[in-house]
Amino acid sequence: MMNKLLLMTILALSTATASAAGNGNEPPVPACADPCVPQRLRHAPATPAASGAALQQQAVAKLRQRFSEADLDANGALTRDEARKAGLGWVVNHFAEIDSAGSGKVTFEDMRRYMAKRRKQALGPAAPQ
Amino acid sequence: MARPSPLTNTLRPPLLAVLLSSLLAACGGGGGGSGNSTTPPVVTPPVANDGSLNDPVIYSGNPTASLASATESAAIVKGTMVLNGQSIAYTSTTGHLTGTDARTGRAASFFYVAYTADGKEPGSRPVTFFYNGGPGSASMWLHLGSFAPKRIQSQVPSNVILGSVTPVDNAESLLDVSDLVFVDAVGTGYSQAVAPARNRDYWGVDADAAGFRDFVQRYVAANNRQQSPKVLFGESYGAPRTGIMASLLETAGTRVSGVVLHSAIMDYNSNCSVISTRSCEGYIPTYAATGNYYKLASPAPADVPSFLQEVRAYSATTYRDAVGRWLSSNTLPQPGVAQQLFRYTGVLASRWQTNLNYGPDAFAQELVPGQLLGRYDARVSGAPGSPVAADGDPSLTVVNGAFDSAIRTYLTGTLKYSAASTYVTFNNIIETWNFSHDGKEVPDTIPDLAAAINLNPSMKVLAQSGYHDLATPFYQTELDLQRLGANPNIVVRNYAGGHMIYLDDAARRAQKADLVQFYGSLGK
Repeated sequence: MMNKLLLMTILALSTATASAAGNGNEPPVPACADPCVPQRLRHAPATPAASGAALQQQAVAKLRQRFSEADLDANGALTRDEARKAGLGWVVNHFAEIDSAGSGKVTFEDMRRYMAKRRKQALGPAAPQ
Repeated sequence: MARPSPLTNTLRPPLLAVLLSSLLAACGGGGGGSGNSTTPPVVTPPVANDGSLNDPVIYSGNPTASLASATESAAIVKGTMVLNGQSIAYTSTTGHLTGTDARTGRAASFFYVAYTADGKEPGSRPVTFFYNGGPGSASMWLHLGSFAPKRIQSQVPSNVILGSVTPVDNAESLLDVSDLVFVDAVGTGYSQAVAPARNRDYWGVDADAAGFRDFVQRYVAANNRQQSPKVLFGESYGAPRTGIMASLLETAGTRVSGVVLHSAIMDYNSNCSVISTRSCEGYIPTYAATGNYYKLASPAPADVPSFLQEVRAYSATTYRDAVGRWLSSNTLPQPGVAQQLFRYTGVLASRWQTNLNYGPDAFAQELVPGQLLGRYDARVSGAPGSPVAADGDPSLTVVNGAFDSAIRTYLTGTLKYSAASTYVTFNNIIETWNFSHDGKEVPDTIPDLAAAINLNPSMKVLAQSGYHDLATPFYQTELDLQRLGANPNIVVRNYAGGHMIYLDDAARRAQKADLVQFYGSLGK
């Protein structure tokens, strides 16, 4: 283990030395310092950067996916217990407020309504929808 | 042995730690690695009377390394410091906590150093989690450079290579407003996966953030910090990690009161030094700020903030249009565009005519003839071939060796923690890292931050960037965050500094002032 670590260090050092040993006035290529990606990813295809309503849609889709993953019986609603088992502590902590009807289960739409309400409370009427 | 501090009481009595580690040792715990048959038997870590810990474990940053089991012991050292004329007694806790994924059971032993003010109710103070990025970097830069009780005095932006240094009391420590926890990513520092997981299982955008979530949850539970406002403070790659962590922690029911995005790269897809086919519009104001530093902007701006505002606007309109045509069809810009860019930045018009999407590597090499500018801080420069330019980034070279050696002596000498292996300050794992996230080859974490804000609309966001950082340009961070829409909880602050803003004394003071305001604004 120690030897491996040592070897890694030596390898890392020799890589750094090799890159430093440029010829002439060619500046050395810095080691892959933060932030950095491998060469093969430097031509990743352009993907649109969502903002505004499209971004909000992405964010909600992300939350909906976590909700669906927790909904093991796929009935479109979570009980407190289902939420707890899935690690959805946020749903557990706010269960009573999300389940305003007191039905013992919450749908994703309930969750969305609750999030919108809280957004309005926190950010005022100008809050993004 | 009895320690009156609430921290020690809530953390765990040392005796229990000894018992616990004996039990775990009986299960054959210890440093392990792939195909490693020479793992030494674990000896119970002695928790000495002076609080020191000689951890017998050999930690490894190898991709396949895996601890057979993990103990949660720590060295505990008392200290005092004076901040704003007020004496603060504090405890430094240095050791490991095991972060375990509640659903999968996957676990890692995270190495951390916590500084907590003594005699306070645990829930009454914020607790802040700091980490660098890389990926592959230990958190030593933030730990020894920024807001911990002690810091290394650097001479940035001087190009003198810093010699051997000892950390000194830090007048800008954040200990007056928050308890501070510095934690290392798996495979860096002394953090390592626990069997059956291996280090490499954590080496991806999502796996890594989930591991950090598990550490934060474990720290909160072990130290009774449920009531404390929680702040995440990530630098560079640590910032996109923060976006994802915020979303994961909120989902899991751990409220995140605030996030500090330090020299952020929230969207790898928008940075033209990461992906060369993207517009460099996010960089033009950095070029202008740096050209102005070298007195190359013409005419010399009377007022720098309004100058940079003008350059931002130009970058987002005329330059964006022109570079779009250049990238899509190699259409040369109007001569006036190259001329204007020359006046703003000092980069010759002929260079803009040759490549309108002018990247930061060329800028660092060409702006000042005979000088290579630093990538992390373009104010630090050196002649190609000189020692300070030998590693390709003079601004990293001036501090790298000093930090590297100081962290090791500081851990053993001041914090009284030693392990049977060397602290891994940087692990070159870029090629192994899984960068994909949400269907993109490289991560865009603005949607994660948006999801976190959906779950907690009171979450405060503070982005801090350096005007002279050629790695994560400040204007690109502004553009990335603008995608979130108007939100009074999102604040952007920029400083005359580099990537590690805090290495500059004046910038660090300004950062501290803004951070104090930020902490004052936090909800629970």
